[in-house]
Amino acid sequence: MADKEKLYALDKEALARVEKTAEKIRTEISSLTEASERSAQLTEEDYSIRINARD
Amino acid sequence: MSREPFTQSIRAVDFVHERFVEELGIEAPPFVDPTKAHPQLKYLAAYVASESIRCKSLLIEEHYIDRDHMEDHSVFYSRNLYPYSNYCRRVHFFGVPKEEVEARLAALREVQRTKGDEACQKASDAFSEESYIGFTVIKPLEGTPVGRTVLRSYPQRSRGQPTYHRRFTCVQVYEAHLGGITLSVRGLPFQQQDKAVAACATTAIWSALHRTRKFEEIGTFTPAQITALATRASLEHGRAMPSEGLSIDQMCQAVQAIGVSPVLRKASDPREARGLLYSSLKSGVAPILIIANGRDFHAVTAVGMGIREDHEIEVDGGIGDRSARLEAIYVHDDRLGPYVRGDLVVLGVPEGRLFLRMKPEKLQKEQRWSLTHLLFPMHAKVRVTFGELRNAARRWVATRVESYRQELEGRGVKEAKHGPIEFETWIERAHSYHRWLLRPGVASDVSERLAKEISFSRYVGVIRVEAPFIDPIQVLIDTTSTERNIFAIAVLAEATTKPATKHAANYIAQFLDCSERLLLPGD
Repeated sequence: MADKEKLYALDKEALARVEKTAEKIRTEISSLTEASERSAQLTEEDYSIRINARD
Repeated sequence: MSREPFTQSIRAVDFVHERFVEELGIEAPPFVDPTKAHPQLKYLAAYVASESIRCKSLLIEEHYIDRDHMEDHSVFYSRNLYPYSNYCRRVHFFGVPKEEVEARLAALREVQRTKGDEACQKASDAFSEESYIGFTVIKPLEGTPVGRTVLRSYPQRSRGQPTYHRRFTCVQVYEAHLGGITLSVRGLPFQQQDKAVAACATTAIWSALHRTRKFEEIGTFTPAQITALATRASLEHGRAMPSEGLSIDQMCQAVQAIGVSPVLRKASDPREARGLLYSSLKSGVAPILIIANGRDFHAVTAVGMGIREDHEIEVDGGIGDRSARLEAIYVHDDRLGPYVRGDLVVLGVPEGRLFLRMKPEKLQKEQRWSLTHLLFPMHAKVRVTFGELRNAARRWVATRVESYRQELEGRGVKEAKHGPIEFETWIERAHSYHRWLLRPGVASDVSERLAKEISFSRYVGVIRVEAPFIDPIQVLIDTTSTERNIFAIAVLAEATTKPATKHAANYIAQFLDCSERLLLPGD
């Protein structure tokens, strides 16, 4: 493998390291994921909202 | 009893913004303050008169049968004591003077006579592109005259704003037949609520479903039919007609009955709400927005977006969301008019909510509505929708690209020093995605192999990631899979001009169980 290629390649060890970092980032951004999940949680109250604005 | 004269009359007149309502001979209804009558009609006049549209003349058809009004008439207005007509008028808007409109239409008829269909249609398309602004149906209801209206949307660029561009992703071509000539306009139908067969919720569904019809073969439904479908199962807020508004549940019932699935999301987090809006509009799915002003809930349909290209985006964990550049959306608001700009602003504490700030006309007071819910009419087989796709993009794709960037930065790779990783997501019919991929910047062998080697779901979820140290990478998602069992159809790199690209794509593909469906240029 050329030296330049080596610089970018991920061997087994590097891959494990990168996955660990990815998991760390996931924890950092968890509030955004939670926000997304919250937006999917709907209650009866949401469905009963009446839409009736006038001109 | 003698019959009323039953003839057609088509007249061309100069368009004068201030005299538009007068020209149509529509008077304020007796029980309405004349200064407050016909806001939608006045908005239409202001819209077509604007610098971006520049209407010069009108062509008025005095007798026009409109399917929507005919249906409304048969289920409701035919039972009034006052004998409302079952026909309407149709007003066409042109960007050239009336003499030129008449001359050009006569010339087009001559082309049809002498050169036939193909030549005439080609010439008609050219005339439409150049001068046809669209049409509005004027119903014989003096209090609520604006019926089906399809107008050309604003142009992509606006003068003096080089970094702002509009994208009307939910418009499509509509035809208008006029004396043997077929004119065409790109828009999405709008109409005002009449508070009889339809309130704002019905009208918003009606507009949104016109767009859905572009993707799926669903029937054409009139406002009266939508109200009937919505209230078939329950009448929680009173009688169906005159319409006293619909609940969100009834809106969902109507969408489901028409043959598409109602996907409802809350808009409690402003960043997530903006992201869902961006993703939906980029997909060309017209979302129905439920908005509130502290007193009332209202429904509008979004049809386009305003992007501020140089807007600095917030970065979390090295990851930026491209939707942060969505500065404004354009909505069909049946209380105001079509293509009303709503600036997106976050107001309130601690996290705030996403608000639409609308100011349809200079002299009008600004209106602020908070976005509470989004309703997407989607094909039933699309199970991974905008929220799930964004989650997958952020958690499982962008994080990996960012962690790989950090690894390279640690190794001293200069170009990996800077981020951020930017992601965007959208959902598209497979055939239109294939067409989208045939563009400069995407390696031709990648698009060729994708077409020949990869099986696609009817709708494909696209996750696209960009960063300064790699060429754009895409992860394609099978939208018929489910949130807990997402299946990646393929991973591809659009190009490999940067050495890190193929390693990043390979790494992502490996963890998404997609190594056999990894497409790299030159591979």
